[in-house]
Amino acid sequence: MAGTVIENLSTRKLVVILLALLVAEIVLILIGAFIAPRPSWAAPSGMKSCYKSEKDWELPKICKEAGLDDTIDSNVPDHPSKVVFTRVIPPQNFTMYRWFQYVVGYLTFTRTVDKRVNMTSYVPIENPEMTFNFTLGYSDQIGARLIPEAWTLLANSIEKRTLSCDYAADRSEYDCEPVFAFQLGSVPHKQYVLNMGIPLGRFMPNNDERIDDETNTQIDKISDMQFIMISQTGGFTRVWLSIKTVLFIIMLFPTVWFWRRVAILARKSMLIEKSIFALALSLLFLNFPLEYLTIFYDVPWMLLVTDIRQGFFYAVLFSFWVIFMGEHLMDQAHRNKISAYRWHLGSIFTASFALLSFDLAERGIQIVNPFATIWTHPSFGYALLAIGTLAGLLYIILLLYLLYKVFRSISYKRKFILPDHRAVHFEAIVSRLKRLMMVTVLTAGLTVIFFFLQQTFEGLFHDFFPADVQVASAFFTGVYGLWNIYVFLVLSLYAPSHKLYEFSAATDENSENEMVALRSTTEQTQILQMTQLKDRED
Amino acid sequence: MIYSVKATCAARALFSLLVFFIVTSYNIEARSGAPRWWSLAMVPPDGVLNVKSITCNSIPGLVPKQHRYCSRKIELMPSIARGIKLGIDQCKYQLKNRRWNCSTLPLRRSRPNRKKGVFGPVLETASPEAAFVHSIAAAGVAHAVARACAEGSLTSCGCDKRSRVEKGNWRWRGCNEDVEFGIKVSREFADARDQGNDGRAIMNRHNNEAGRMVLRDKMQLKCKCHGLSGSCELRTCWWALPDFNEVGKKLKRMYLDASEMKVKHHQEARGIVASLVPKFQEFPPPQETDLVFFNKSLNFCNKNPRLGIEGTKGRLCNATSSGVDGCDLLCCGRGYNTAQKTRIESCRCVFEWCCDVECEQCVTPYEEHTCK
Repeated sequence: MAGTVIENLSTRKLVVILLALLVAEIVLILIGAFIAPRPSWAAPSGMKSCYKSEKDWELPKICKEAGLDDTIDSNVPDHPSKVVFTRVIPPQNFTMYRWFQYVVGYLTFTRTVDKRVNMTSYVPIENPEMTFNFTLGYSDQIGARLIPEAWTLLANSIEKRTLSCDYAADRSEYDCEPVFAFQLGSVPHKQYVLNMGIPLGRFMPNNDERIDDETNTQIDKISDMQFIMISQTGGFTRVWLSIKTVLFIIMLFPTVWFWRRVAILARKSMLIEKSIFALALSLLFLNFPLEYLTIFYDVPWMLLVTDIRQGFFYAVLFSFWVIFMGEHLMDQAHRNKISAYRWHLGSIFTASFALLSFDLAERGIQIVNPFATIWTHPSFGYALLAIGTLAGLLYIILLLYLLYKVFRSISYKRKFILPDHRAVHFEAIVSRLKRLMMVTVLTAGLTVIFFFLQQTFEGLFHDFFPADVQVASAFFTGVYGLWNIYVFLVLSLYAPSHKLYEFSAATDENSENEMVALRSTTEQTQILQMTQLKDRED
Repeated sequence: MIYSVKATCAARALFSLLVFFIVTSYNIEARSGAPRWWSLAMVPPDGVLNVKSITCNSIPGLVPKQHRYCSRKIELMPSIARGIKLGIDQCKYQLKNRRWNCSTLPLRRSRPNRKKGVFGPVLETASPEAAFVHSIAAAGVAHAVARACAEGSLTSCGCDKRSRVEKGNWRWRGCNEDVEFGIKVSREFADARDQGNDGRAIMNRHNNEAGRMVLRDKMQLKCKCHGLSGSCELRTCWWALPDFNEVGKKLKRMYLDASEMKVKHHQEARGIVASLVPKFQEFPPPQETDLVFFNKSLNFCNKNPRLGIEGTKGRLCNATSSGVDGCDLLCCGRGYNTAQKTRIESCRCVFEWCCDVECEQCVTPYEEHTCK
């Protein structure tokens, strides 16, 4: 790699650039905190239990209520197949918007032990399997809440879920985790209705292998059911898309500029330059505001595509780290060939592939069946996660080993450096590596810190901040901006410098005053000489 | 000049007197024990609480402001009725072992009964019991309205203020403000009766508000990770209504620690105004979330029809307990009768979703202790 911008940039210019980027980052955080609303919101509401009628759909406003708590109601049905739980989303007088992007539905229950059951001999079952018969429909008609004929079937499926409950003996009641019901990857319709039955095995015709005699015999009494709808807020979608659009356009410039710098060089582009360019392209791919499509078309695959774009960016980022590190190893055997990194890239590929399969098995299937989840086949899910985790660990180990080798060779060579131009240049390469590592660690570290702050203090922040400061949104815009700034820095500071034959000023603290003219040899030959030196020493 | 001064004085005196009369007549209404509209919550002997048939004229004891509120927002009335029932049921549950066990009068359509209200004249005394019942009823109303609001069965609640701004808000940030709505309704409806400046009205307002604050404090922040396959890259939190038992438990603790106050009258431009000050200076003044009262508890031991007290005669008690449910305390030292009894009860029940319970019949002998 030829001399890069970072070595030839004056400290003053560097500080100006960094300050500008800092301001940009602060602006993004402020946009998230003050302009954007919270990223997503949840609306809990009761599922109404109704008597099943002849109609295709049971609607909460017009159905005949079936009481489930016989201590209050005398209206208790005598047969489980007569009960249908129903809920229309959104709440009354509102309609869903395409800007909501997605809807996730969860169910929570009040699961109690019937009062007549003798508690002394009762054996609590904290994680029973529960089978649901889900039906989801939609309608764009006004007043559809009163008209069962106005609804169209979207999906129907019998699904098993394993409950995760804690038994509270003093109340003879279970506290259960919310159970996943469905996820829609796009919200093109105005209203949705969820109808749900809890079939009891021995009453059901055995034409479905998912229902047997044991089905739903261990769930005790469900006296109350809540539906929790979670959706992205329209405001956040708008702010997010605006940010993506602006960042996409801004990032086009350094990317084009970088590649032109590389292209005008007399030599062929080097691996490290290609990897930086790939990083920029993957970020552009991530930034590209494809989500505008959701506003005009029904695109249930958008969540999947977003995941893939994000995963692709991470895969390229991790590859870039390995290649950048490896190219600074300064031993000739491993340079400028992608095959030298087959183990590293292999581990990244394996991890990405496992996670992609996981994503396809969940979000991919959800395009067809919104009730699907990979945890219906837990072993498959765990296997993919295990492969992903192992490959990720392998990558980290390989990366750390590479890092160790790089620093060992640097400290080794420092002992034998001659006090001439080569020393200056060697230190320049070392400082180039160190600076990238510094920026990387800073960016990754800030991301992790932001994440933990957001996760830990989400609830607490309600007390510390006024309600209109959106911590979670600030986190998303802040982290997104951070990685854009990272790529921007890499592109602009590690582009080949056109000041190839000028003085290298302020490369780092040690060489700042040594105004040594660089010779017109490429670095490659210089490094080659150095490694030969090393070979001789060996 | 002197004449005109005199005239002003006389006018002022007359005015004060008028105000005094208005206030005292208000007091008579305010002092009539538990609000009579609470009988909304009473289940008729023939079965289920029928909230659909409520009309504003069928509710006894509404003050004009409440009547206007009712006719304007009739759709809230079923929830308000459910809320009162929730509160009274919880009161019975929390006080079931005490000398006064929140006993209500059986509902009859006869006029005298409707006139007395649900609890009879017991709560006319500004006692800790009255404080407790008011707070739990106010909390119950807020709870039930918030719940109905969340279920989407109300058109007037939550985000929907029927304005374009709110519709825009819904698109921009979504919305769930059910509890605030419930608390607002409880404040507007349940407090409407106690707008006066006498000690009892102040006490009722304070205790109602304390009950609502407990409900708000007990709201639970629930969070759910909903990233890919439930991972935490996306996480959303919401406020969930607490189990009303939790509210009842907390209010019972507050009832046991309620602060005794005394009424202090002073003259202000608008007339004689009362305020509540702590009776014992050595105790810290009550917080917003303390229950207050200014009359001692009645003696609930003996039957007193004039005060609507049933007495503890005939109540079941626990012979082995030394607490308030023990026969010693509950029977006020009168001693107790023990009877050997057997009961036939369902046992070895097997429950099957949704509604099928299969039991065997068991005969269990047991000892029953009742107060003399």
